[in-house]
Amino acid sequence: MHTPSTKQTLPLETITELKRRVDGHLLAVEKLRCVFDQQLAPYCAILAERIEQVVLPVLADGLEAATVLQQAEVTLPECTVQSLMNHVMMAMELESWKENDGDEAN
Amino acid sequence: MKQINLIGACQQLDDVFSTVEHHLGHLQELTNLLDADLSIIQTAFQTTTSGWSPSIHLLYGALQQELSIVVEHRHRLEQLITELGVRPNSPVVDALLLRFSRLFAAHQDTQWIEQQPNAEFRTERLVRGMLPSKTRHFLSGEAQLMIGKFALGRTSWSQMRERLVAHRYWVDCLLATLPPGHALTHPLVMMHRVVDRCDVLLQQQIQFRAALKELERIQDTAESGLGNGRVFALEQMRLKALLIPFVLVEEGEE
Repeated sequence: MHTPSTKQTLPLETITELKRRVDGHLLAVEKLRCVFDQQLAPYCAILAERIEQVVLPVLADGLEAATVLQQAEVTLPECTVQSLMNHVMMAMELESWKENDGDEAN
Repeated sequence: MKQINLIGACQQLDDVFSTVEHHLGHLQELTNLLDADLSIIQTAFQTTTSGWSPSIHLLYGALQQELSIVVEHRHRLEQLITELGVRPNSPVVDALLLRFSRLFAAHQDTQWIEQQPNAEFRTERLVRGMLPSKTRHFLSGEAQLMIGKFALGRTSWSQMRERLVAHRYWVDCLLATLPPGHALTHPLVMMHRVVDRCDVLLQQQIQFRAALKELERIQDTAESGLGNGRVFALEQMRLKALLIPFVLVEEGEE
């Protein structure tokens, strides 16, 4: 019945890391939208669209779940903690945008 | 002279049986209250608490059996007193005296133990139709106070949980006073397990409600940091689905 405190199970730097990843991906989308090379532009547009539609929602959900876990002052039920942790884990499993990759794409 | 002593002993025993009958009545009342509370939980949770019904019936059965033994003892004791007055030398008197000799010895043992300074280290005789002295003390004192407190209503799962904690307390207290082989021990152990199972369910309900309130608080305080609120809404919906409303079952409504 006893659920360990979510603040103990969730590392403090998780939210910071997720925010960094969201910012990195947003920056990447911006950079991809600024590619005007005729050969590369269609691929960059597809990639930007994929990031916006697939990657960013997962990161946003993870960030939201991490925020709820971090701010909860009472012990949340095990099922709720598990579900929120799943969102966080899914977001953390996505690799962060590497600046070099962005540069290459650019 | 012997006859007067025997009648005096019979009256002493009759007083004991009368007290035991009275105490078993209190226990019956506590069991009825527990049954009523468990009925409410069963109605609300439906399938999840199946299995409590045989346990409560086992307790009712053991109680009825104990009561019937006491009533039979009293009936036979009445017969013995009458026979002692009419035919003191008849074989029926001998048979009845044999029947009550063990009971009277147990009663005298208990009286002697109660007077000793370290009574808790002595073991009373286990005799059907009699209750150990500690059980009688609990049922004549604290149990009656508890019956009075149970008269207060319950309007939420939190209050119901408090009642379950109180039920567990009286079950534990009785178990602590009864010797292992007593007829009421096993049914009470079963009831303890049932109360524990129901308590887990109620704790979960209380936790779900608290979690939902906490989510609302977080929503109010951290609107900007919650993104699109999809996960948040999903968790709120999940918790609302897990919440079971408290419905009080009135008597005769079942």
